[in-house]
Amino acid sequence: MAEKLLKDLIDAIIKLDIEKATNLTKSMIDKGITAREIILDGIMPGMKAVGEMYERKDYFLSDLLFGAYLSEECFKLLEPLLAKEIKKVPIKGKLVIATVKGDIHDIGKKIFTSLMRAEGFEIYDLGVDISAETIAEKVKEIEAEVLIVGTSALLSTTAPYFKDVHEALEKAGVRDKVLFMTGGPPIVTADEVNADFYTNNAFVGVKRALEYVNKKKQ
Amino acid sequence: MLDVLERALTSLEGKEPDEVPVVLLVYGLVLKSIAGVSEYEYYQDLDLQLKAKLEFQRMFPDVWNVTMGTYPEYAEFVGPMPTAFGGEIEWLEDAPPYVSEYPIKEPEDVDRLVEAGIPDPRTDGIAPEFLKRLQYFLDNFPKDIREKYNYLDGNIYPGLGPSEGASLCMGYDTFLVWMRLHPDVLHKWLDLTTTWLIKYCEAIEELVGKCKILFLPDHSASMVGDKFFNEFILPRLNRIFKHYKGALRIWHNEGSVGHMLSAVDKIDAEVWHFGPFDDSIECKKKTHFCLMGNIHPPWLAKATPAEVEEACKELILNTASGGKFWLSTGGGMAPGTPFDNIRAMFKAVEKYGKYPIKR
Repeated sequence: MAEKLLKDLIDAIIKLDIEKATNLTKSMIDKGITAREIILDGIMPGMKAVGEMYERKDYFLSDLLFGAYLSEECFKLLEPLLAKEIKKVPIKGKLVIATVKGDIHDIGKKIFTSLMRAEGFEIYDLGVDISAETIAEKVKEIEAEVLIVGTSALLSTTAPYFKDVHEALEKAGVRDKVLFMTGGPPIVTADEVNADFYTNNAFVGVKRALEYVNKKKQ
Repeated sequence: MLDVLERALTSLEGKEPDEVPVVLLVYGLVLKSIAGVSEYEYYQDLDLQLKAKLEFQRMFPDVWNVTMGTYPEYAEFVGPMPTAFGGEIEWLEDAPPYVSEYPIKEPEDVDRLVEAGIPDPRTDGIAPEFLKRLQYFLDNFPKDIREKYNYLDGNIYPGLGPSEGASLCMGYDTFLVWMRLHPDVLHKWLDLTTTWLIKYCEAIEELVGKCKILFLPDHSASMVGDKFFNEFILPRLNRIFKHYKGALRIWHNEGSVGHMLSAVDKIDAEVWHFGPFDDSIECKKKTHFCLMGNIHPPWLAKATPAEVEEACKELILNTASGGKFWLSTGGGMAPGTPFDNIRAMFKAVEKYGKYPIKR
């Protein structure tokens, strides 16, 4: 029965049917299916499929974003259960994510966050308009493996602020302990701002993050 | 020999002028370097802006820096609509201002704003200050240049269009999610923003005279598929474009819409300022527009003049035959673009852009 419900959940996420997806999540909780199963075998593969459809251009930004919203709604329902089970869900790595100081745009951040969550990362979303020092402090505090800082296409000149993040990470003594990625409009290279990797494609960013944590664990 | 305006207007009609026109969008991001000031100072000092725009025109007399490029700049891209409805903008030292407080957070906010009625662009938000600055430009912009290039007089540029302006009042993500979650609320909101935008265009028209050119940037089409485009975006764009039927209407959207060219073709505008991620050949084949584009601006800022010349050559050879093509960047000119790279665009026109185009 669990298998059928999980398959239906994947299907509902792919079809972006929020009512069906949240009802199925509630129903699975009632039936005693663990949050771990619902996340690993339902939400994650569903979201992954939505991402693949976006890459194939079957879905567009509005669809991908709704997929992220829908999966967040399912996660919210699972929160009480997750609090009890959290140690049982395997965490591939810890991600700190933020939009730079002087910028409040966060579409890319939301999409990247949902894809990273679907891959099993623990997310520390600091929000928007965040100072370099706050970002570095959080990376140090939680011993994050991956950090991504973004800016928006409308604020191209805030991109050099990435350099300040690099300096703050150095000052905090964690620069060499974290994969520092930058995202947003294609206006800077990683080298120009002393980051490790730059991409304006969330999927490429997820792939790079996975490669990094896998290599680190070897 | 034609001047650039004659060239552009000939090409617009699907005829071949003497050579490919170079029509650019050059504003504060680039012009602040001519003015030698930070972006914040540039936006605050109207006289400095005017001088920088005139200096750029003196450097490149064969560029048509169309409408938006020769308008005063004062958060005019993102600010008028969100501030009219109660939002706030924040100024930064060396970046364009941004919307820091959205007027819409919950669906109920839309009902509240609908009930409050349409804000007056002459009194509400930053629009009145912008209109004052527009009047300053009208009083001080040299008449000979205005006439030669058809700048300011009859030019209307109201900042971001009805859908993107609407999304700036609530955040792009909320706007896109509400297409599924609260479609009725969003339709109500879009009707209101479109009505306000027409009122704002009319307030501008009172200063610049009867509309001859409408420049309308709206990138929201590139965020959706054709279903949502047809339902939410196209009707509002066309309501404004149809309001100014008879004028030269330019739709600026450098975001990719190559997946729905037949839908985009229904936009009732003459020119599409298109972006680097859509194929110029396909866009020309499948739409009615005169295409303005599409050299990638950040690439242009970093490429060598030889590379720019080569890219322009390819674009011209692929797209310019039969007219309906203005050589430009795919979007506004990026900060730090070397002026030698603009000269390289002209070199490409000189070598490969004389009509008839020969492969």
